[in-house]
Amino acid sequence: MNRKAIKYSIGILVIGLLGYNSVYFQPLDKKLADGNEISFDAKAYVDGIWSNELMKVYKDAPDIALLIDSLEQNTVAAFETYGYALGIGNIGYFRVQGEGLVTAVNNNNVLLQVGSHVIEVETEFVYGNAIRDASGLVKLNDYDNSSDFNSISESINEKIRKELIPEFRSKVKIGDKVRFEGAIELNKAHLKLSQIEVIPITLQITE
Amino acid sequence: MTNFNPLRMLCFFAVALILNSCGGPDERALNQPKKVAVIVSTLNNPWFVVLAETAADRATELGYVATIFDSQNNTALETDHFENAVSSGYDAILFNPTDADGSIANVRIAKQKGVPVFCMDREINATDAATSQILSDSYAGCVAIGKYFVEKLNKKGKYVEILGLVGDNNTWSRSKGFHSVVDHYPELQMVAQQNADFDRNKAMEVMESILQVHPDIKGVFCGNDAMAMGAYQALVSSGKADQVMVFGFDGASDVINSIRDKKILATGMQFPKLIARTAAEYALSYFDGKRDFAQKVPVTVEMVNQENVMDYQAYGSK
Repeated sequence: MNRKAIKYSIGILVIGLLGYNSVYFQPLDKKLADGNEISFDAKAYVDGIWSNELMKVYKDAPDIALLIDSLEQNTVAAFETYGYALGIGNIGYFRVQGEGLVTAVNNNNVLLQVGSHVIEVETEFVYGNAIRDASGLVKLNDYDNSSDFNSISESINEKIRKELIPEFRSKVKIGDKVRFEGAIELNKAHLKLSQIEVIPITLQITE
Repeated sequence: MTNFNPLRMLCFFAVALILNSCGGPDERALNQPKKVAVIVSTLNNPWFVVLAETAADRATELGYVATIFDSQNNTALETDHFENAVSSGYDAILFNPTDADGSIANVRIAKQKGVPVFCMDREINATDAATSQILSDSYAGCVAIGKYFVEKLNKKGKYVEILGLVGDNNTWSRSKGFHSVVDHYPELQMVAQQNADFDRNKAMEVMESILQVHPDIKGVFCGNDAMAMGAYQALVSSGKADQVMVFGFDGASDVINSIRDKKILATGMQFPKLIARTAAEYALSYFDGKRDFAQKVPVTVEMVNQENVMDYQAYGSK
């Protein structure tokens, strides 16, 4: 009887061990992370292009007031001349630079008066592809994996959020004069130029 | 009469018959319109019906014979459609895949026979199989929705994510775009993340179950509009429609109407008609001899919310 019980116990133990090791449960968000493992080192890539390529193209960005004038005069021509788009659609990205007087420091942005235009410098929601795509430096079809391509924007934005924004926000106040370089996203079918939002790549309090 | 020779006449007809049989098919092929197959993942979702019908209509406008095949979200059935299309002499395939990995073999079936395949909206995980892939920029669209989500929930609260088909890249591109923003806000807590296969009824069931465990959620992000409508229906049934913000993705007509009626907060407007027309026109370019297509052609996604919904209509801009 005892031998039978031992035999059954061992059998149940073996089946249990086999069963335990053949099935596993994993949360979907873990599966998401696993399914999109990125071998491409976006941070290293962004660090590599930051000074010599990315900053360089933004140094040559059009003046934002002149760009707005061009857009008001001939939207299609301005999109063709100054805009960058990855594919098909209404969205275009533009490099810009300018200088303006701080009129408000809000939780999510800083408002600048640039000539007759109010410009919103984004300091909270620095996400998306504006900086990457307006630069014209990075092409989708150079990357087999879309996740690699998207991770470039994530690294650029993270660098801006960590290295540029905190210092700027700790110093900026109403009445300051601020110089900026950055990118904007515009929709040519629904163009709104009343309060353009700039994702900054450089910010400098000049006075 | 003396010139009539039955043997010579017989030879003449025989030669004529041989010549006719040699030149005939090419001539017929030249005279017949090109055939284009539109193979779509499912016709059980209005968004894909618009995609398929627009592709077929544009192909017909361009002078082709177009036929729509419904894969019913089944990769094996999709294989049958590809084999059928190739053996039936279709000249191009406008394709909406069922599975990013599982559909690659089907595209290769066509490629081996020299039939070009233009993917629409959904991606396959290979860059050497399809002639071109015209894809919604789901990631960027969901980054915009993620920003809006954080603003509307005021950076804090419990929320739920309902995912689409686990095997579709769009599911993860949308989720990744959304989380690339939302995950930076630690007071926004995702209490459940479940898939509902882009299906309205499944999303309703999933949402009903989640609400029993987490009645205090503030928001739900859904990977497509059908699931957003299902989730909203569950919220109405439980009397929580006014306290939970629903966000979708697609730009389908019922969600655009619901945004107008202030029932749903926002969606990502994809442009299925633009994608479908572009695919049909790429087929035309291919028939005209073009071969240097970009492998991936992104189509921008625009966020539609309660502030700008008047600028949009279902499946596109006004």
